[in-house]
Amino acid sequence: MKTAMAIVAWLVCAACVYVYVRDNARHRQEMAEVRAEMEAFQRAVDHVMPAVELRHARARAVEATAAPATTVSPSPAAGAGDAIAATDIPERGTVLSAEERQALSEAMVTQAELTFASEGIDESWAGSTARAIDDALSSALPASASMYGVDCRTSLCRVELAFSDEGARERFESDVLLRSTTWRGGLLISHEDPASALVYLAREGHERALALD
Amino acid sequence: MLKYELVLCACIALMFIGVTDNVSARSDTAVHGYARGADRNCFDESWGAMLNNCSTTKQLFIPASIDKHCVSGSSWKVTAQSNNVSSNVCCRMIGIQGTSISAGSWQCLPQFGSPQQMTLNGASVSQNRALYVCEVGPGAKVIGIDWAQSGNC
Repeated sequence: MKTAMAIVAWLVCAACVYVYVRDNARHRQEMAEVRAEMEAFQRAVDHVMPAVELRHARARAVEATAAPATTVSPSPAAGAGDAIAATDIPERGTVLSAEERQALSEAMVTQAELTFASEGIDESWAGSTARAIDDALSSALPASASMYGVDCRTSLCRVELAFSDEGARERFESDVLLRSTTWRGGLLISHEDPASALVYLAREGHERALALD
Repeated sequence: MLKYELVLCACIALMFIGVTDNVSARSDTAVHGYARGADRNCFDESWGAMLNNCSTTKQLFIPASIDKHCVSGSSWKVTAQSNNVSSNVCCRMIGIQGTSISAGSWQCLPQFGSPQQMTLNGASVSQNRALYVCEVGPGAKVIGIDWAQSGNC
């Protein structure tokens, strides 16, 4: 009888140890998964933060020049975080000023550049697409214009164009870049100065790479 | 555990706030459409639609009013018709803001013989001015445009 009870006790103890070890292993695995997710999230935040901080910086710069009625001033006691929150979100119904529009425009270009710079190269697409763009633009550009390095990555291509004057640039953009159906994807054209254009071309179906939100 | 539930509830509440954010929806006929130079003679108005009566494809530019207090998000649609597979209508949306210009991808009619609405992909932030540009095949027509801005509308 005693032997039987001892065997049962050992069996119960063994079962308890087994359950403990199993649950402990499951717990460790879950913790490892959570840790991996947190690390992935942190990497994503680290990737996005430069653009967000730049946008906040632009918003603060805009606030300094915008009319008082269109901005919300942070209280003197507010910290840096409060200042960002107060200026980054326009009030409902507030018409954005020309300066704010310009700042958003610049933020779009910055975002496109950050996206482009962070992309790897899709070998199956980038090389042939860059050559096709180079060929198409070379034949379409006026003789007085210049093209600097067409570079393609995964979802975006980037090319710089220089023209003899603003009129030549406008004609080329209007007649070729915006009207041509050869490039089916989206475009973002930025003008650092009136006679030059920095052009980002989005691979078809990847237009989100050019959007801020 | 309670903390996670509170965070989850807050996220769900924020999702609903996002969904119920105001949207400014507008529509217009294509009659405001503009064609360049001699191409202007190719388009005839028909109940607000713009019909290409020439034998080659022509471009039509149609402006869209922008509510400047809408700061983010937008959808752009075109309704057009062609009765002939070889005479398509393809459109893209162009936004102009500050010193940059953005253009969405070209979209073409998916079907023929009846009015079709196409949704255009476009940069969705801060357009100061916006217009549609459409390649209209012979005998095809652009009927109207629909667009909605969202965000702080």
